Amino acid sequence: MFFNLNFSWLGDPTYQNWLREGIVTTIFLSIVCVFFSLLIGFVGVWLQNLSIKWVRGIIQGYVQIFRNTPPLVQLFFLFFVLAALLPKVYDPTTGGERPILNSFSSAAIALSLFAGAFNIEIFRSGIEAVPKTMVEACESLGFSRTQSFFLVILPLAFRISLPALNSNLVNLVKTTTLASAIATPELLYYAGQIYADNFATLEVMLFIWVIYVTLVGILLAFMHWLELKLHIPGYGN
Amino acid sequence: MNRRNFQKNLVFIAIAIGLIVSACSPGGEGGTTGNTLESIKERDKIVIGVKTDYSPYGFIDKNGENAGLEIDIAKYITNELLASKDKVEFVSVSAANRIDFLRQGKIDLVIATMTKTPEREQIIDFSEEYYSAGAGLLTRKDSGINEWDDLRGKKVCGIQGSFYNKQLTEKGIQMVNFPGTAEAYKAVEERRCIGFVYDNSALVGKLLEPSWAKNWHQPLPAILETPWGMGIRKNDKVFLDAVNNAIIKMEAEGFVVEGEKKWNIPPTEHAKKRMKQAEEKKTN
Repeated sequence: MFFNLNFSWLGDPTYQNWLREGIVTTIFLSIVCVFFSLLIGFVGVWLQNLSIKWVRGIIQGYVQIFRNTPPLVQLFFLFFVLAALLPKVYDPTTGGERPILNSFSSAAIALSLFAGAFNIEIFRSGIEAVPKTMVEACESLGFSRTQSFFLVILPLAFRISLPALNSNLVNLVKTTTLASAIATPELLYYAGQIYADNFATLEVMLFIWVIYVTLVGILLAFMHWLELKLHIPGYGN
Repeated sequence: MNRRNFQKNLVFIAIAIGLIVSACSPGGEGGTTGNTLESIKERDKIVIGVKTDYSPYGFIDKNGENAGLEIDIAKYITNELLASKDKVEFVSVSAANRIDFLRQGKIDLVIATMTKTPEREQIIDFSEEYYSAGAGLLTRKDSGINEWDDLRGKKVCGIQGSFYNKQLTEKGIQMVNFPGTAEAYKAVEERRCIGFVYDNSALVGKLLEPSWAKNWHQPLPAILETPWGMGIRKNDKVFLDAVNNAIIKMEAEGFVVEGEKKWNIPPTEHAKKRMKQAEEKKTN
């Protein structure tokens, strides 16, 4: 079965455009989601540490809602339900007023919120692993709460969280494939169309498999480099 | 464990598997008894498999009767074969069971929006192409779309995996494809796209719903049409010829073209072309 693989579809200019566009959209969506999920993680864990009761409550509620519901449901909810409540913008390509969130931005927001909820928990685990004596040392040196959080605790916690963070970000990149369900033109969206046209399911799947392995490989290489770079003697190996 | 018992069990399992396999395999060619025409004449009734959920082609009307363009066609064929359009019994079929019903002999003829495909032609015979469906566009009445070229550079909703998506992209249309029709109808309603490209026959049915009929229409002629054929059991030439003659007679009379008008279906090129061909055949 591996001797008569049909890769002729790779020569079709339309398919080449689709695949190029799909790869670019997947990469762009991944970068946007990784950035915003990290931002949500940092801000969330900082707010959680402020020990203001109602802020903590809100963060806790957000984490529970987004960590405990399927990302596909969140995508559909944002795209179809929430979009109806938000303002509309004029779009000449649709000849009318369309919802302000298009499929790409809906996917970017939903997936960032989804991964962000996990990131808050990941950073929290890191913060809780920072020895209590460290916090006491900061206090005795006269650091303010914010200073000790950003200058001492978070840098340490970030290093401790890195392995768990890697897994979550890898998962995030793979979860971008769900965006095809709301017509975001990413890689799987086009791949599905190509194998529907050519019945070359195995070949197309092999192709996108290679692409995703490469993308995740690049992300992991960067994260490992970061891990080594940030390595502090006495912590881990 | 007792060795004898084990062997006994093995035999049971083997028999069970054998039974399951034989139950699953299509019942051989048992349905091909030869002459359907003779048998329907003998019992003075024809059993036709039709759609009951595909308005306006085949559906159940307010009085609980089968109705639609294909039902009219089925009655016409019955009249040709048995000299009365009432000697017909309709059996509701779906895309998944229509071919099996035919091969099992539960029905004599399939008239159920069935597209002629090479895969299907291997297991059943198809009649003349009595109708066809293609890609149509559902859009707002005020969208100002009058021809397919007006869609260049516009966002148009579609269904993932449709065979016409590639050709439409190559026309310069920005296709926005959803996994299912529910999402696509919702998206086009929210104006995420200027229109929705889908099987024109299904859009016709959607436009019969009052909420859609008011502001939406199908302004463009169908493109990329694929023909529908009536399904007949394999190797039954006498019956096939009888059905084909009836179809050609029906087309020559303009029955299908009239039927499209009756059921508010946008006229298809196919029906017009077939009418002309049938008329020519007649005069020859």
